[in-house]
Amino acid sequence: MIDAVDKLRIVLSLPVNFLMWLACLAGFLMMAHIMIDVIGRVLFNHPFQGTIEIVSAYYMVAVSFLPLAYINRTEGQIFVELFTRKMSSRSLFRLDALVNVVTLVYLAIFTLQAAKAAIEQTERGEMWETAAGFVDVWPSRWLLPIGTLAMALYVAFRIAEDMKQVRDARNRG
Amino acid sequence: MSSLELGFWSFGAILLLIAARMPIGVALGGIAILGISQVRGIDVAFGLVKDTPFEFAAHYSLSAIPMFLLMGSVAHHSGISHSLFRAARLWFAGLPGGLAVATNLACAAFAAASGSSVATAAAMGRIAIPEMLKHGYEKGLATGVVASAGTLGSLIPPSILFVLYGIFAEVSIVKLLIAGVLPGLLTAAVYTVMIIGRCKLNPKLAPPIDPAEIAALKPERMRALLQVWPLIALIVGIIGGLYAGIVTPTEAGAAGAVLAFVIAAIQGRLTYGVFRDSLVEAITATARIFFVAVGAVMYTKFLALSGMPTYLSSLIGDWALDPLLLVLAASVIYLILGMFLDPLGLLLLTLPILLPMFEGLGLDLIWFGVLVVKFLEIGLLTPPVGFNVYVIKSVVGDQIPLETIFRGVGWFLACEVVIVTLLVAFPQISLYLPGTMD
Repeated sequence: MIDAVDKLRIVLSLPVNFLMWLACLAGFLMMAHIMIDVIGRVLFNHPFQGTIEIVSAYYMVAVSFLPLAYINRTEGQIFVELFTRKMSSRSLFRLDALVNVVTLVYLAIFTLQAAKAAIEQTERGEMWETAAGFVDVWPSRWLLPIGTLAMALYVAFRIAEDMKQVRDARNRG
Repeated sequence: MSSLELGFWSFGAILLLIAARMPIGVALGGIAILGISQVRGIDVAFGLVKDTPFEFAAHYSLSAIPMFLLMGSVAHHSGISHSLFRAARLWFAGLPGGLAVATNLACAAFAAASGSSVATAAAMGRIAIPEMLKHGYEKGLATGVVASAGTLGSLIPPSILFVLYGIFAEVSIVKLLIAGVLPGLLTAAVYTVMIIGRCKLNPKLAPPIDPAEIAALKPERMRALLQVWPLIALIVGIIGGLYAGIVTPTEAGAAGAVLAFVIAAIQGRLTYGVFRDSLVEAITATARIFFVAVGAVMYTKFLALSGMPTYLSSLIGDWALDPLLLVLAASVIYLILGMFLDPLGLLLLTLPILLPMFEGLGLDLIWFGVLVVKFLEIGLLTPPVGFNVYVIKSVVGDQIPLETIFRGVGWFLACEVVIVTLLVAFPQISLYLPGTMD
């Protein structure tokens, strides 16, 4: 039987995978865009205006922050076993739960502040000046809170998963 | 507690949090937020969180990182690492410990397409270790050589660590990348001498390959070399382009990635799977680096507010310290912390403290950059937490215990003593090539 936690896992995987896909697209476009600019400059003495600005403001922000939830889902840390090897699995479980809660608080602050910045810059219509004119930058401000929010949701999901495990253990014992 | 004391305590707090399995980025960033709200109030702390991450990531120089990573992952997934090892094996198998020498040199060559040590070790490990074990090589040597030579990935350009160091130390990234070339080659050379010497003295370590087999393989040598032309093109194009100042590191990385894709397509190896895996690998690695780096940037700002860097550089001024002593002290710090921390966390944690001291003494920051990267690489090999050793362990699985790999790495660490001594005694090894660029 599928319970709420499993359902949540399936529902969450959609946006997490979608953001990862977007980040990969941004990575590929970054490569292609830079390459076209180099060819234009070296061979035809005609660089593409705004490459630096678009690479920095859009592709870089996308590849840096959109995959965060995906990474959190697929990986743990190596550091782990060294100092905590001698701990009982019970204390280890509690420690990890605490770490998850702190991480969640950190991400919540991060998301909230990034969203504030995004709202401000959207109202202001943030632009960067290039050699040929202006590039709108404000839309990319939103990539950051979206990426960290997805990661925060994923960490919250892991906390819920832990709680379910505790509950199941209690029910059994 | 004064701001200054707070600065010192924060360092210990971060180490403690990391030991308690806290993600390094959260530990650095979290302590920065707490520290700044103590020193300047919560609004300043939140203001920092609001602006720093975007401003840091939206940075053109840093775009070299995803591009370097992409180039390396395409080069690996499309089989360049395979043809490289094959060619090296055909040319060097006749030497004592020939397969280990071939592995070492293949790592050095692959490092010219890969910006990461861990990625280099993982890529070569899967190919070279089974081959060496099949030929009866001692397990410590077979695994140790890949773990150690994998560290060339960060020394020979491209290199993620040099890009990050360049940003934080505000020195030319191109010069740093070029400065890594000779120390990287020196490392590969010292390793080669050690392997040949050891295997000559104790042939049991690496049973010689049947001369008849080697003779039979000779005609294939040229063909194998032809298969690695793409990599040679990559090396010439990238290092040459950087050295000549035609391309920026970002452009070199992007061109390298495109070239690697094109080569894979020509050789009929560019499947959808290769394409997808390469991108996912490069992009997740980038985001992981940035998550830590954003925390580190905030921590650096907190330290600056605490007054610690100014205090430390004034101390250095008062002591009129011998530069050599400072280098020695730095090496001890890196050696100890490197046993526990991953290179990225270690680099970003220590730079805000060490850089002002080096600047205070007027030492060359490019030279220091090469030393720092070298120390970080040694940290990848030292127990108990040597990341490259863990990577190799994950490649070989249960058949070889961790202790055996660490024992095998021991000989390479002994080489590092020689190499670091040379790098400290003769800064020209690092500075000669960048010096010819002006």
